[in-house]
Amino acid sequence: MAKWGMVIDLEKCVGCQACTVACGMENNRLPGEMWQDVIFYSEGTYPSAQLKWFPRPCQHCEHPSCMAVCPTGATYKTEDGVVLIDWDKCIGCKYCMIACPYGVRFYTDEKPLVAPDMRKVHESHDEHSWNPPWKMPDAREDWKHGVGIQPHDVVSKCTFCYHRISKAPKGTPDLDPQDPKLREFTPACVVTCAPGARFFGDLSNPESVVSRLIGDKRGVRLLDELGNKPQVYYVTGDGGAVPSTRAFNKKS
Amino acid sequence: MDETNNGFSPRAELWLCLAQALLPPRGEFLSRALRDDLADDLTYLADSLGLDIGDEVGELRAALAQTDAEALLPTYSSLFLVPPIPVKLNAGIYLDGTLLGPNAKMLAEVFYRHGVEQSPDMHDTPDHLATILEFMALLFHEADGVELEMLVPILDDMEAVRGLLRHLSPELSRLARETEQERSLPTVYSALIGVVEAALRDEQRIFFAAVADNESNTPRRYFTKRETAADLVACKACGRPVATARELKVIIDRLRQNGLPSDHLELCPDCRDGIREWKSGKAEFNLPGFR
Repeated sequence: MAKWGMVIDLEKCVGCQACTVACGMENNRLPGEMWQDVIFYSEGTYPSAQLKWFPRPCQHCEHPSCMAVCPTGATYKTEDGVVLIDWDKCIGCKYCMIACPYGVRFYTDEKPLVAPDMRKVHESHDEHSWNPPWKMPDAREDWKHGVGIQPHDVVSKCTFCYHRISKAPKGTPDLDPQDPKLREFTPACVVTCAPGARFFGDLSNPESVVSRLIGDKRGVRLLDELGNKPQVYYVTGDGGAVPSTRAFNKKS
Repeated sequence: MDETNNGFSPRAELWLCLAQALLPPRGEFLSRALRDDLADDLTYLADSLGLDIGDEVGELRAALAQTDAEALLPTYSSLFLVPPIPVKLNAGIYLDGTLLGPNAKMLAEVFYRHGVEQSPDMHDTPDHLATILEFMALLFHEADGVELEMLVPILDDMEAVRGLLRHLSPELSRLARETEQERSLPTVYSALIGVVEAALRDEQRIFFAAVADNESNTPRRYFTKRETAADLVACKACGRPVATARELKVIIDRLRQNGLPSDHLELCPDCRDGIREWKSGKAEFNLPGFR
């Protein structure tokens, strides 16, 4: 069984946030509720200050805090290493949002992040929390895996586009968007990334591109010191950066 | 003020009135019109539109009553004109961090699309607050007399301009109030920007009633359900509740049992990025300020 993971090359990432938009469109996110955010920060002080950034999807940790605290078992990990939420079980207690150190979970029934509130503009008259004019086909909606437009009072998060990757041919080491046969199984953010900074593949396969990138370019994980063991790795090289103890130690 | 624009609808007239009030009060006619007529005009227009901006107009009326007509120009200059300008009325400063940046040029293009060009008499950039307000008035006027198929692009641009003003006005209002206090100036212009802010907010209520109610009734983002609990634990950064003490104990116990960290629970999820000085890409509309 594959253990899906992502590698983000920060030497290539230009912070354009196309991934954010692609994710929003693919997963019917409320405007402002970004499963795939890009975080900006500055390093150094004037006159040597630098603006830096890194994309921050759900890290799909090997040891997820969210799963440990979920009182109903709504948050779970699939056999192929993806952390998902079963919206049929989620009671909206937000324990997972409090426990997740990465801040990548969202609760839809809160104050809108942008105005006007699209939940009111595109009001839903069924069990869905809203009814956007753009949405994935109903056949793809899968509440057991947190895919589609969620119901009210549940928590949502990045699924690594589970509706895509779960249909990938078994044994595929990498989901490369450049390969026409695999493109439709590749997460939307990876497909859209214009500079090709994202790689998605099987971390348990030593021959996969993601494994080789992590090994060859010394991939680091966000807030690695916490011990959650994210399955999203960042390749920093000399140009890019991600705030990480390991990245800091490596340079010093 | 309203005599020269009888062809305008009350809504367009309101924005035109506010636009003119935010121009430098040069000359005795304009100064006296501001001092003696503005509050009455605004009250009349607000009443005819059903806008709930009475408190803000009252504040403006009180500020104007305490100010001589001759004091208006020095006040305007001190706030908006004399370098180093404490309150810049150019939207581009707050959007691009500089004058005549891409947003100012984009605004000029939007004006042009509607057949509007800045008058040579207006000695400022096209993103000046008064120009934007006047453009809003023109859009309302344009929308009054077009066919349905032509209405959509006008409404789109109107919504964009209204959105821009809604993000801009709180910052301008804050800066004007602070400067007026600092320099012991009459509070006319902070009150006037307050009227603009209130009119924008009230229009939001008219266009998107449910949204406005939602915004005023719902606390900010995180944690809406437990606010009445007795044993709430406050975030160490912002003071807003993280969870109840009992819930936190359960969460911490479970994390420890799994060998996972729990130190970050001292802060609410909204504050954790902030202490690391991480900023979300587009979740919040942050005005960068002047560079």
